[in-house]
Amino acid sequence: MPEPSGPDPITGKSWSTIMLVSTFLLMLTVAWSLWSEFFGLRPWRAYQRDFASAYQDFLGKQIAAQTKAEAAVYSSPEYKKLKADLDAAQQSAKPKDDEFARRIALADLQRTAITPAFQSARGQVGALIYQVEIIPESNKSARDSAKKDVDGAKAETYEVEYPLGDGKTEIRKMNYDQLNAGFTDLMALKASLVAQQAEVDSSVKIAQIKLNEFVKEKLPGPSAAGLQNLRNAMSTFKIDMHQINVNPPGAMLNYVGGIGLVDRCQSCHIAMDPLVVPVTMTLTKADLGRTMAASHDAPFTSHPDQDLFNWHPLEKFGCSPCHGGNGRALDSAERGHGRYEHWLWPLNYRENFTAGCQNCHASDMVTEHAEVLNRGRSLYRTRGCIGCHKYSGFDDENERLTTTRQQIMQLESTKHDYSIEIPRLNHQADIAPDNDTAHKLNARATSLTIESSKIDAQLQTLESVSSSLMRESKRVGPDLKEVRMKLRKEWIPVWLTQTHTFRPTTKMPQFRLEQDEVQKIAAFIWQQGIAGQKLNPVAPGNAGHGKELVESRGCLSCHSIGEDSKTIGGDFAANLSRIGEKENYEYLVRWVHNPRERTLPYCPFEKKDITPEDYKKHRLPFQFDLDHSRCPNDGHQLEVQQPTIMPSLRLSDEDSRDVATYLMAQKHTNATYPPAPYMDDPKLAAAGRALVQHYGCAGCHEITGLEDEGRIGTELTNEGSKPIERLDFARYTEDAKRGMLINGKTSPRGPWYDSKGFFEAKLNDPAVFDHAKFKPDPMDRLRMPAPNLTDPKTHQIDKNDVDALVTFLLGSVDPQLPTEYMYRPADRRHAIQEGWWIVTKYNCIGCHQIGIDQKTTMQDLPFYQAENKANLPPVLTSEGARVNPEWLKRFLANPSLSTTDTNKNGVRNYLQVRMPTFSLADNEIRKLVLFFEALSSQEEPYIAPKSESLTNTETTFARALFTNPAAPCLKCHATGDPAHDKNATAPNFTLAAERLREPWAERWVTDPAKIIPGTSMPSGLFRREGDRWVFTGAIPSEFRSYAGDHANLMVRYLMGITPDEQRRLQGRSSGGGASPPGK
Amino acid sequence: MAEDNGEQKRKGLLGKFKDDAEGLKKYVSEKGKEQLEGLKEPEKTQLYRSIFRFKHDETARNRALSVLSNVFFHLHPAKVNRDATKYSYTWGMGGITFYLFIVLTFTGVLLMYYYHPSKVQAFRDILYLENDVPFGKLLRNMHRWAAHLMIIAVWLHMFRVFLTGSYKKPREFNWCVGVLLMVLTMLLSFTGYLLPDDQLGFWAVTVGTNMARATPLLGHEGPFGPQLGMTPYNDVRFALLGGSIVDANALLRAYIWHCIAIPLIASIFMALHFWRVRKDGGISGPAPVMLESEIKDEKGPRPVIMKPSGMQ
Amino acid sequence: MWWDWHQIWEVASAPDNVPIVALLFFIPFYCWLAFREAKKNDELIAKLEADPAAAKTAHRKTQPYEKGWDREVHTWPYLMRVELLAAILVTVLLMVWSLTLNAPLEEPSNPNVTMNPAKAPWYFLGLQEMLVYFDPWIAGVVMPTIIIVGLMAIPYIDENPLGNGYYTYRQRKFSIWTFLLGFIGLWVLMIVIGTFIRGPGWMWFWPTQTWDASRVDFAVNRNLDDVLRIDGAWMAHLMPGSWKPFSGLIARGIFGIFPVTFYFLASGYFMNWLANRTAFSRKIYKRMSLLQTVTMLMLLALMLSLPLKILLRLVFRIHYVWETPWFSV
Repeated sequence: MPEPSGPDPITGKSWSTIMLVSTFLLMLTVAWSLWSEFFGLRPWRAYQRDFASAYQDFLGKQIAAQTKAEAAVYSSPEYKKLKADLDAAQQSAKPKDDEFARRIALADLQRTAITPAFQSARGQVGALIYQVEIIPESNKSARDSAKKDVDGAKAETYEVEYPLGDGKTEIRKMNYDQLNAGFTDLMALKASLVAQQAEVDSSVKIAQIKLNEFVKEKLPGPSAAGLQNLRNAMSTFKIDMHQINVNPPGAMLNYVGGIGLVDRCQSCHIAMDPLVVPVTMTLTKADLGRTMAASHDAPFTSHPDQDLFNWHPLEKFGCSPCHGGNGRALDSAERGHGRYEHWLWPLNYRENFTAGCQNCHASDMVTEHAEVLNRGRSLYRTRGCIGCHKYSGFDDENERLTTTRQQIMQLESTKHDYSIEIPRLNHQADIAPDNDTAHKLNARATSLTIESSKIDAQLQTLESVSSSLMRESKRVGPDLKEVRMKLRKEWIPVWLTQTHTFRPTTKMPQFRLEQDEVQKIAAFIWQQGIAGQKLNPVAPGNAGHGKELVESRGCLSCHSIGEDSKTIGGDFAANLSRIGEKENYEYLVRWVHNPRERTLPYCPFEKKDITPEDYKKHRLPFQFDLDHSRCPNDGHQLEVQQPTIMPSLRLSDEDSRDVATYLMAQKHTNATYPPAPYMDDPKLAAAGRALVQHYGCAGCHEITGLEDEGRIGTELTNEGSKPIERLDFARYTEDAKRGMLINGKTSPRGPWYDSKGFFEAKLNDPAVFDHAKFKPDPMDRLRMPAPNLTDPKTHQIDKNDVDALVTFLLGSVDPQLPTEYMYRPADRRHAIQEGWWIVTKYNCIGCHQIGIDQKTTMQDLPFYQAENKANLPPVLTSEGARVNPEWLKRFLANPSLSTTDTNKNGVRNYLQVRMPTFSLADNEIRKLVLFFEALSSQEEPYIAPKSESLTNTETTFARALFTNPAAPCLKCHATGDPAHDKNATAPNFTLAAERLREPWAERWVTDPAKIIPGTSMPSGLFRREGDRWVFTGAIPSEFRSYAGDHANLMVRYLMGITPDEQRRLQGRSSGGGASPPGK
Repeated sequence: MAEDNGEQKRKGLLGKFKDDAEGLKKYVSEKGKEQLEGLKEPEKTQLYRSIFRFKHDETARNRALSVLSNVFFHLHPAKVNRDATKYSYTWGMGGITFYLFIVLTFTGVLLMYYYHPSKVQAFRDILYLENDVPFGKLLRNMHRWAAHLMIIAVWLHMFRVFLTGSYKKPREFNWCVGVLLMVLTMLLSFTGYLLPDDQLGFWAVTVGTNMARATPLLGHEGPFGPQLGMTPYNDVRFALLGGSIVDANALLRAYIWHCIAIPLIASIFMALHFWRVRKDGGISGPAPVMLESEIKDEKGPRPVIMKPSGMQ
Repeated sequence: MWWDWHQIWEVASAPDNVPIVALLFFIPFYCWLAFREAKKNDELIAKLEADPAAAKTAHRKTQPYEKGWDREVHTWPYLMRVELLAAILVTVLLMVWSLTLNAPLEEPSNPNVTMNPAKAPWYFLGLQEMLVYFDPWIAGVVMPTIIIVGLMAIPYIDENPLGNGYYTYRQRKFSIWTFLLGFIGLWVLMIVIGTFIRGPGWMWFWPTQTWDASRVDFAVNRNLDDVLRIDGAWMAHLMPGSWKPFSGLIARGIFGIFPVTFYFLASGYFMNWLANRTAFSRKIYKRMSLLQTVTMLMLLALMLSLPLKILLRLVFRIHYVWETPWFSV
């Protein structure tokens, strides 16, 4: 058998090498997995390391600066003085203080001395008493002997070495009772001593507080020592994960991404951890000096708005509920920010940060610290988005009206049924076979009668509800029923095609219409207008005076006038330049005189305008207004006003004419309008109606036959959380996913296939998702018109507006947080919440300053500069505290405070600017009053304080003060005498009684500047003397003795002052021309 | 003399101690040496022998015994066909499949510590695994990818077995077992798909189970199903999902199938599979090639059903 | 949009599709490996058949062997080390895969938001693809059952004693072709189509074609009876009045039976012809019992019906060949 030629390839070969290699590979992968676990997935470690060093350098600088500042302050005279005061106080307090300290110490000694004896005595007695108690009553003798033992024990005396202070002691023999008494006495003694000592120290404490306050004010932020501590802390800074962990009860599945709330954001955004950067400090990129990698520097700034943490404590809210993002993930910025496919709650972009507020503050109109969001909300409302897109909570009066009307109709039909049923029953009762049935039937009839009377009651309430709702419900656009009276026929088609060129600042969006569509719509609009109502011609007025009125009366707080750079006035209402090209003079006069005036009332039940004929049928005068608002045909509430926000300025007929004349002059003289004969073609109109419905014009305008048209757009209440699949990017889906913009450029933020991307694209060009689509029939195209977001200066779409709206929409999500997070206050804050809706609705802030640092449109008007500043409308920051709510209600209902002479201001008749009549609904007035009271945190309801009447001496003294040359009140305050009031600059005192709140008035007379800075009312009329105010001017000798409070006296006097009293005094004081002190 | 005695006594005592000390020293050093000697060959120690019955040396006997006497190894025969160690023949897919099954069991058990099969928590738990649990992400990834890999391995295993004709006599039955194991593997993977309770799993399972609607006779959309009174609420799909839609019950069922039922069944079949590999004469080849001329034609009557597999 | 490479990358790099990409490499590799071995063996067989003398003494394996080498080797270490190595390498592969690629996790499940396309797990995509060509009860229930049963039946119908335990092609042409058609052609390929070709709306997107969710396709798929204008009009005459309205139904129902039966007969005949082509195959075929033959023909017919139906559907736009009120084929 031959030998094998070579070694066996299987048994002969060693595998050690390959084994070694593969084992080594295995080791490598294991090492890799370890690395990725501890470093690869923890990028924040690097951030923290960088931050620690950068922050230390920063602190180093800060410490140096702070130490210098502190040195400066400590050497300042004020500080020295306060310090001296403190020392003095301590000095003066010291002896007493020590004395008390000594006595307290002694009391303690004495107590400790008797304690052991007392305890054993108490123990012994207690035990013996128990012995007594366990002997049955029956066994008298035994009980008595036991009692004797107790007495014996009580009588037994103990020797106590009783300290007397200064180390002296005496031996006292004390029995149980003495010990007991002594012990309790000593306790009481000590308590009283401690109290007295505190009393002594109080002066010291006050001085200390003063000092601290001074230092705090002069040296805000942490002290040098504090900073030093911080720095030391940082030097031993431990690189570790920072996380906030909250699991509120009732958290929903998708609460912050589905896992309760664990936010580790601070692991990278380390500077946002209050423990690292105290809330009193702010850290910006600049502060850290070194410029780091873009990925690095962002995390190192502290929260830009630290105040928010006062109401949103991190440990309750964390970060992601407001900001979005995947708070748990730390392995990369992308994942942490949740900006990857499949994460439903991505981090809001910087420009949309405030979207988070809307999650909980959905019922706010104005949310502090959230300007962008607020802007978005008001844009949504004022630009008429609401006309097509329902948004729960926003202007839902119409919806409520419809429901009320349905209820009314239903009740009426029931009532009608009853009215048929009752006689039928009675009749049956009459022909009933036997008495029982007859009784039953009658009873039934009676009950029905009662029922229907109940229904009457309900109907009444519902009617009043609907009338007030009708007052509240406004439309964004003007009433188109009166086009024929109001507008120049040819202008309409031009407007439809060139909306934004004709009036660059208009709210009306630009529709995309084919030429034939324009003609149809225009024709319909023209023909649906009320025909045959002629306005009687009016003579032209004085344009010059008109201009003056427009500029002074306050029109410009809402309206603007002039084009491009020359524009002045507010952007709340239309720009009035070129109004002359479209308007009809007579109509304009009527409008200016009272914008709410209507040609024909509208009956929502008959769904038609009520004509004089209808009234004639019922032999009623053709008269309709808020007091005559019942329909002559069916007695229902009529629409008797124009549904416009614009209030009546109560101008006289002449003034109206002048204003109108001035406005008619606002036009481009060279503008030409092609004739539009087709406007009267009924066929076109018929086609137009369908178009008008299709484009939802009736959402903003009142149009004959379309009064009850619903909103045509999608509801946007929860648009922010609509699944992306439901947002149709059409041909741009792929581009969006790949970060390719519509203009072909690449998107700076990468893929934009998300709600933000959709909203932005849509707002910039609502037709965008029709591009590259084949839709020959206009009716198939996207119908959303282009909202007017163009900035009149740059003529570009205003990015801020877009951001604001996008922010608002992004925030509009179905609630993800537990309900207790929602901001639904029940207290004053609720009143404020509600009030803002009305304040912004009627643009009160155009004229009045309501918020502390809020600007008004008016204060920037050229007319109200320089000396005219004094003639600005009153500042309302403390209105709630100033006026009596009942009065305020009356005033808001009728600001002229008079039924006859209305062409004036009720309170400040001397002002040219006019508080208009808004004919608010009672409901709105109520809300407003509560709002003002809440703003200045007044108790509700208001109970007027009882003030005792003046004695004769007081009266005379008060008169003396009132007419004192040092304070000639009537020099400025109006009296109602026209001659005098010509140059009055303050309200009439006779109003004070019902209008003002006494406590406020008192604070006011003593220091008005404190309440309204910059008021022309002089301060310093009174000076503080002990616990009372004393007049600063010369006081007639006979009253020097008066011990009462002068300010209080003055106010009480004014509260009771009468017109003729004023007249009498006016004569006296008129001589005194001396300017009051303090001026 | 008395002091003498005392002297002696004292001395004697002292000396006695000395001697004992000497003795002890000697004893310890000797024993110590002995101990060290013993430790030089650990495989001789009682401890070692109690665990490994046989010496680890290169004698044929020990090699055989080390396999036979080891509960894990004795799935194998002591010796195998020399060429059966060649990768080019076996591809090793069967072994890899089994190894992956072990990996999956291991990672799966670990995952079970963190997972609740409930609508509220399932998804949270996955996020928790990804972001909080140490090595959680790796764990989950390994489990998922191992599952995919296992399916591929199973298919390739079957492919190989077919191409080498290893299903032929006498291994017909084991092939059937193998087919069942493949089905079980796919079912394992499928039931696991739903557990994260995310869109992917949800819709995959919805699509998958929707087919069951159309089961003939038993599905409410299948042939003759409606005629037999099948509705969405009593048909086979309802039985699978524990409801008419993929919901909490479906999740729970998937979980139990995935973690308990199917693994149990699969391991039983695996035991059978491996055991049969041995009993059917070990791994099938590489066998010596056979020639057409060597086919012996059966004589005798044809059996009614099928011929008895002619095992010699 | 064409030549959209980003699209291909998106699909191929989707974590859950990686296994399929791997499959695309595995299958060819192992086919190559197998057929290399088969070739060697076949050459050896050819040689041995050439001179029977040598056949008596030959080692009969392509693996090298010399006298003195032991025919069997110890499991420990020679087999164990292979297994150990495999285990290690698989572990390495798995770890690297898991470290570089994250298991997908999408939004929390939401029955109101449908995924488009909603795809089954990749290993069932073959069946989902079948849904295009067959009614669910066939694609989803009958077919899987037949596949399983068919696989299990293989050993009992394959009467070819050759090629047991070694790779060979020439000794098992028929069975190998059948299996390749089934495994690669009808299973793996369908999966690949379902993964890479089927986009939103389960529409057919060629590679480098963008998956446009808003794409709209239009195709009329008519039933065979419709194509052949079988409306039962003539039948109506022969039927009682009350039946007339259903004449169309009945006619179609009856008609459908013909093409189906025809197909089975034809395919059976074809198979039969195929099985009798070479002397060898005739020999094997003769060994088979009636039941074996029938089962085999049945299964093969069913298998072939898949590509046939696909053809009918994709090319001739035929929807059903046999339509009844209860089931349709």
